[in-house]
Amino acid sequence: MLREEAVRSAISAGAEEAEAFELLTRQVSIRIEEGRVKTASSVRLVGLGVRASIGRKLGFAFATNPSSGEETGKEAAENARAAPEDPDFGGLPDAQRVEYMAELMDPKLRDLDLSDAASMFLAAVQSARISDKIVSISGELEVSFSKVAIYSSRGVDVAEERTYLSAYIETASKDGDRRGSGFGFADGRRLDMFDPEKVGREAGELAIRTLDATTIGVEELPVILQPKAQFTIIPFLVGEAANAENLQYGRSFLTGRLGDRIAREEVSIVDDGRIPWLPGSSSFDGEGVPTRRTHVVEDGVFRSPIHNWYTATKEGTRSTGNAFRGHTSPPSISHHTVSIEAPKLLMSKDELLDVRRGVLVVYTMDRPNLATGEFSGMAETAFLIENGEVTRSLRQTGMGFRLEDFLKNMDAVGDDVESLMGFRGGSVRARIKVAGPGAR
Amino acid sequence: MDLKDAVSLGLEEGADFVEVRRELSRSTMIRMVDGVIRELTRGREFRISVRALYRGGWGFGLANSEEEVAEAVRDAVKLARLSSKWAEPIQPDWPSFRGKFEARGSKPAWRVPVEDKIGIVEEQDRLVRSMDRVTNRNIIMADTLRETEVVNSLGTDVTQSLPRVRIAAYIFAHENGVTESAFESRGGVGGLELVEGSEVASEAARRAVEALSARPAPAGPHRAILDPKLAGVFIHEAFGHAAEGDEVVANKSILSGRLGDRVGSDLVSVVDDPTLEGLYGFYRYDDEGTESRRKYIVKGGILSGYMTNLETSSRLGMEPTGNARSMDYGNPPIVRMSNTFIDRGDWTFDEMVSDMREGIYAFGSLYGYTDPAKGQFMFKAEGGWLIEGGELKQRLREVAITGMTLEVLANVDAVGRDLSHDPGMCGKMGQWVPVTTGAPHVRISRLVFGGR
Repeated sequence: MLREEAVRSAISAGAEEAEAFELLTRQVSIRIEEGRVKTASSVRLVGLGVRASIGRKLGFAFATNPSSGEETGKEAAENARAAPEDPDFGGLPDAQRVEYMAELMDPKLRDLDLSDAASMFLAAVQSARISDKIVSISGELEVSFSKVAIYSSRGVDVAEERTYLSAYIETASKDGDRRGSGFGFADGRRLDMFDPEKVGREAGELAIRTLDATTIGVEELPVILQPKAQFTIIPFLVGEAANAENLQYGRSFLTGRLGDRIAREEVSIVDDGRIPWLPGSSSFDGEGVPTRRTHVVEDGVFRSPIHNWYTATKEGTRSTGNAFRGHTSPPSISHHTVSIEAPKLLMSKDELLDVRRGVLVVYTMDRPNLATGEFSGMAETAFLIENGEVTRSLRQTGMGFRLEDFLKNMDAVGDDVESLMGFRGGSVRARIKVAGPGAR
Repeated sequence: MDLKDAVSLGLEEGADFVEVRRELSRSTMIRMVDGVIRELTRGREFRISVRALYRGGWGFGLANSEEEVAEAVRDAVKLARLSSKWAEPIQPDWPSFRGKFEARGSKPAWRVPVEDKIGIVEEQDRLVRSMDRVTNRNIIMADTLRETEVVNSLGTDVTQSLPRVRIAAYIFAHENGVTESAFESRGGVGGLELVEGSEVASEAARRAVEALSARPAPAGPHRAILDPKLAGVFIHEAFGHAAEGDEVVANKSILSGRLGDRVGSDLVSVVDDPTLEGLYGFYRYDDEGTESRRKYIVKGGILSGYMTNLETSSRLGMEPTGNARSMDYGNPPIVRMSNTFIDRGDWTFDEMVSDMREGIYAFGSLYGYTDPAKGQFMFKAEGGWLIEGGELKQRLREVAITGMTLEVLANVDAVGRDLSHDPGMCGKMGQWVPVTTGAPHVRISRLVFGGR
């Protein structure tokens, strides 16, 4: 096996410890352009990433589609020899007992026939075509099956199979000079988590609803962030701001804030690597450490960073199982699935919308600043709320807030829970500043 | 199996067009944090990809070794037949290209021992190690050598060898409970001479420290000057993507069907030029083997061209512009930018500022994106200065700028003579490719700032 060859080779080339990460991926994809299948792809890839250490010196090498693990193992050892010492490097991870999850690999997804996948995805396209004002439909369906294995000279020997599906549909609409666009997205590890009609319909409806657009000026308003508007913001708090490396180097606005109140008391924020069938879940992390549930914010207080082995060893604590890695780079730190838990703030969709004037944000692609914790971005797809009703689409609407203020001022969490891109939760509402070019 | 034999096999299997691409890439990456090497990586990647066209449907397959090529060809043709069930027929009457190109630079990175590369990174770190208020130093240097060969059934046969080098500094500074950061990078196609002696770390450190005294930008519309980095990202994100041929033919772009129309102020000309040797987005042949060329997208405010690959060129009735690019040969080529920039004008920066009573000078780019269908964009400035009475008065923090592409281009009222280019990575459909964004200083009469 590649990974065992690589570890043996690194050790015989002079490494004291070595670890190999091996990835086999089989991926099929269907690309849609102009409402039709444009390209069908099938890709199989073998990746190997090797870490080798000599004392406190660490080297890394990788290969895509290698014929053996030997050269990569040797290169990792050579890099370790060339690297200067890292005083904080406390060795490669020890072997840990891993409790394997059953809900990571769906045989139906693994064995999905490409022709069936195309037909299924075309149902989404069909659902997006809700009006002759829809002038463009495109998108992509990707289905992958992967085997992930880690083997090391320290006794780590873990392997598991995972499946993953992601699908999106993008739409453009036109009505005279008016233009709109829409987007629908789904991901998961199980075939039946993808509802093609829902993804297509969402994209089609948004494209029509965004045709009728207006702008606003600079105002402070109740703003509702729907789940798709949160996946770049709330997981950021865990994956970046509470990332132990960023805290240890003083890059994060949460540096030195452990134990501080950073959200209102009713709010907890949790990272969970073991929720069945979610893409953020796995039995072990990128270093073979078992995944778990970590309370990052508990009752409003910043309780725990997320760690990989390096940052945990540096602090004399235990890894939280948040090492993240592909085969082309050594492990970094990332979140699994991040959720806001605030049962006392729970509201229905109608209750959330019950404001005299506000903004409903469907998507934003922006994230806060790591150093300052400030968010300055665009409400990419957003609507005006007037007297409890969602009315016109908004253009050029900027939003600005301090993430901590947002979490402290949040006054409602919706029951419209969705899971996507490492986030699970409902809409949230808080009063923030929005900025546009002025009312039209 | 030989690449040409693979093409013949694809035709025998019934494909209308077959393309086989072979890629070998090698890379080194060094990441130093606070003077400690945290990552020293070497990598090798090998791929052969096959694309087949059958009655308008495309199929894409991948071989991990030469022994697997025949299987990948059969896979690609089978997948193309599957796609064709729903496709519109395309006639592959495209031009072909033959040639070889090798870029080297005066100090090829693959010949330099890794210890010397570590020395370059250490030197950057040393320059800012003892700087007051600097609390975290991240220096990253990466070099890659990408050797490719593209052969297709129309007679194209090109090989190319492109070495790329980039060095970047991401510096954090802290004072009185405030933390700020700044990022700077240099790089291009060539050898280590492109990054040796650069001042990325000291420049990033200077701006991070300067930002400690910054305050949030005032929200709302303002007259604004964008520095070359920000104006370059603006033209790339807000306009460049909308001028990509695949967006245009799919009717997803605000520029669809608008060739010859006025799309901006007559001060604005926009160029995409992959032939600028040494720049990070340089290449002689694109990933379909088409020879690259310089083209105006906008000339004097008039939309004068789109960027195309083979297929979109014929669908738009244009010549292929050599803009088909893939992140690696594990992905099919799609229409991408290269070195894209606003061409120089005749203003100086001082003239632009002194001419302003009130406004914002925004600089540095963190990232940006666009929705080509609505023509709406956002880009994030690293910081800015409040301008009052023709002078830079108060340093401003990171800020989002939003706008409608065509409105903003129409509102350009001054273009500088100080054109410069910056290396970066551009993402589209999950594929990242090296590009440069470029511009001189540009002044816009009305731009919406997000504030905080």
